[in-house]
Amino acid sequence: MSFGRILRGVLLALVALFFLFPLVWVALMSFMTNADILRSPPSIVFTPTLENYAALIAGELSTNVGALKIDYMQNLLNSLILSACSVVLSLLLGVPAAYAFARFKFRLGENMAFTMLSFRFAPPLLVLLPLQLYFQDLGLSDTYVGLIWVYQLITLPLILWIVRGYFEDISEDIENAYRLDGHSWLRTFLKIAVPLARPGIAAAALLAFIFAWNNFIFALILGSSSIQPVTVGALAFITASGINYGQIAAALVLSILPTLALALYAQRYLVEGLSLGAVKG
Amino acid sequence: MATITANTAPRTRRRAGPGLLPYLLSLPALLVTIGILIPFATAVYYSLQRYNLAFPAGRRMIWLDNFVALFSDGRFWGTIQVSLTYTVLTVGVQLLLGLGIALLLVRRTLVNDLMSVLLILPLMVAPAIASLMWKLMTNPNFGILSYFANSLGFTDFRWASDPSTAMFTVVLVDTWVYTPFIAILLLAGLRALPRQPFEAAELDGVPRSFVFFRITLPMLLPYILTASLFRMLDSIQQFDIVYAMTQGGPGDRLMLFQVRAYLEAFTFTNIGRSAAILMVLWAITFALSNIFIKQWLRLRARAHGRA
Amino acid sequence: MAFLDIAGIGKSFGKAQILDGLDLQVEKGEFVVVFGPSGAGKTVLLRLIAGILQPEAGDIRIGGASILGQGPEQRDVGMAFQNFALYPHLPAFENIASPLRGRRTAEAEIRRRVREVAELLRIGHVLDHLPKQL
Repeated sequence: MSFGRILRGVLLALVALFFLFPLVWVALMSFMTNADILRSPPSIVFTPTLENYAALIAGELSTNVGALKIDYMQNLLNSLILSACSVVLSLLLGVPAAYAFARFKFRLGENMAFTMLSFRFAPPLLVLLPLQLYFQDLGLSDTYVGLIWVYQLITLPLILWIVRGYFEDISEDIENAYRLDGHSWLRTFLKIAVPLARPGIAAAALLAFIFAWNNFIFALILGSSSIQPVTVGALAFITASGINYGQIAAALVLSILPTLALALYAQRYLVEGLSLGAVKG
Repeated sequence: MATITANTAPRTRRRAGPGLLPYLLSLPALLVTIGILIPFATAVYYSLQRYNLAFPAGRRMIWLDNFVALFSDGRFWGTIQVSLTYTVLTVGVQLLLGLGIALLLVRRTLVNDLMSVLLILPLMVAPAIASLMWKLMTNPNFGILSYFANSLGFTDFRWASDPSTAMFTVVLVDTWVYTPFIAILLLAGLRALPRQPFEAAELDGVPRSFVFFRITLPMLLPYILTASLFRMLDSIQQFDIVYAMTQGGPGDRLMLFQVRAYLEAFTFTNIGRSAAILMVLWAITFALSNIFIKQWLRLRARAHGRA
Repeated sequence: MAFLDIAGIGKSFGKAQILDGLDLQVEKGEFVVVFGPSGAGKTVLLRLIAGILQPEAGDIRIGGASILGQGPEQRDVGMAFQNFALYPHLPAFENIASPLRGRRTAEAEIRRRVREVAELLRIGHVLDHLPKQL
């Protein structure tokens, strides 16, 4: 065992410790009673309990000042609805547009791509501030539809950016051959282009879902309590007084479980999407 | 019998072009683009006004007065300084750490591949949630990190509640969330590097440090630049992490651009000033992203020219 | 009147004028070879006939009628590509059947004709394989 290898092992262990410890610790906390959490010195040995999760799911929390009704499950549902619908809408809008950008060189296309790209990096509050005032006038303040439309700012550029690259990688002659066989451009798009770009579309959809789920500022400004996703809901949860710390931990775990599960399940797509989107273009 | 002749006068003129189809296909995306431009124009408009929701009667155009007021305000310069500090610290630390991790994981062993997968996880956590997680861990009463700090002799280390350690705390959270992004990117870059230069260097007996600094790093430069620009743009406009942790406090210690703008708009209802702050931030991010996009377009053109 | 009548075709890419005032007449049943150095415009000419590219000047007629307004799927033209252009995600059967489907041929008829061709080429036993497995 050379010194180099030992050093490498130690460094790797430290890295693993730094990045994984918080996840493990908060997960452990979610199974502790408040008494166990407040015990000093803190102990790894404890009898686990499911009461925190049970309380969250039931929607009723026992605190120092009595029972408190908080509907965290609604927040989870909101996250799911907002993220899934945003991604679906972005796919419907973005995949054909990405195809147009990839196959046709038209002036407006380059300008549009440039604009969308530059707004990807713009401060969201710049757009959200006026939008919030508009939404109140338009009556969109408390609706899923309003937020889903605004979420397109996050999901649509991502889909366009990644899927265009995949369409460009498909040899045009395959599509030409199919058209010469007698099929219209629509059939060619649906039966040849889209199936061949499927890995890219999947990667883009996955990334878009995760970004939408993790979004905070959009929902903070434009959402009201009935449609708030978990990111905002968790903050409200913590600031409400007298909440049991184990329940807070459980709430946090529930909020990150979907994205963590998705990441583990589809990590290859994810890495490809991340590095491709950032480097290849 | 086939006959072929050339260079006779053309008989008909036809215009080449893809027709309406591309415009139809991208129409919905175009609508979204317009949908962004309208609020943007409105924000520009607001920044030129004295506009406070609490005093609707006093609303009027004051053109650049908001900006003049900002740049003569010490607190605004404080915001600029805080934002720059945050950006430099996060990008610097994350680049070094990310590069180190990528180098550790570059060989494809079972352990390394497993680590690569596990390392993605912090990146998948919402930054706001990550802040809340670290807030729990640094709680003075039961936080595990407070306990560790105490045992190491740092009694009364107050993490985000203390003005002298607040910046350290949020930079720590940011590093926890975003270093994996840089590590993944640089790892992909390292694996994509051509083998010949390294094999040649090995044959020639070139020392490892030379190989690293004069061969590896220069070839990794595009990836490093990409990663840096991405992170710089994210950090200078950071909101989620800071807001979830302290809402900008203690005092003004963590008043980054967007946090300040948020408070101006939603606590002090000063829409005009908030919009002005955002315009300054936008100018910075626009300049930075332009550099990035130009580079990226040039790389694309080169790749396609070759293809 | 030639069956395939190409008259005064012009096509440029950017600054390069690839074809300029080209005429070509081909009779029905005739077998024509077009050859020339790399870059002469042979592939461009074929793509113009197929409808993959549009000319900037001139006309292309088949059987007397101009086909310039028609897309590739409407022209009664077939083309074999230099890089094969097989459909990688479809089995061999579908690759062969594609033009028949383009004409909305009946399912039974498609099956019969594909089998016929496959037997001729002795690939009847791998019709369900993907191109990369052949």
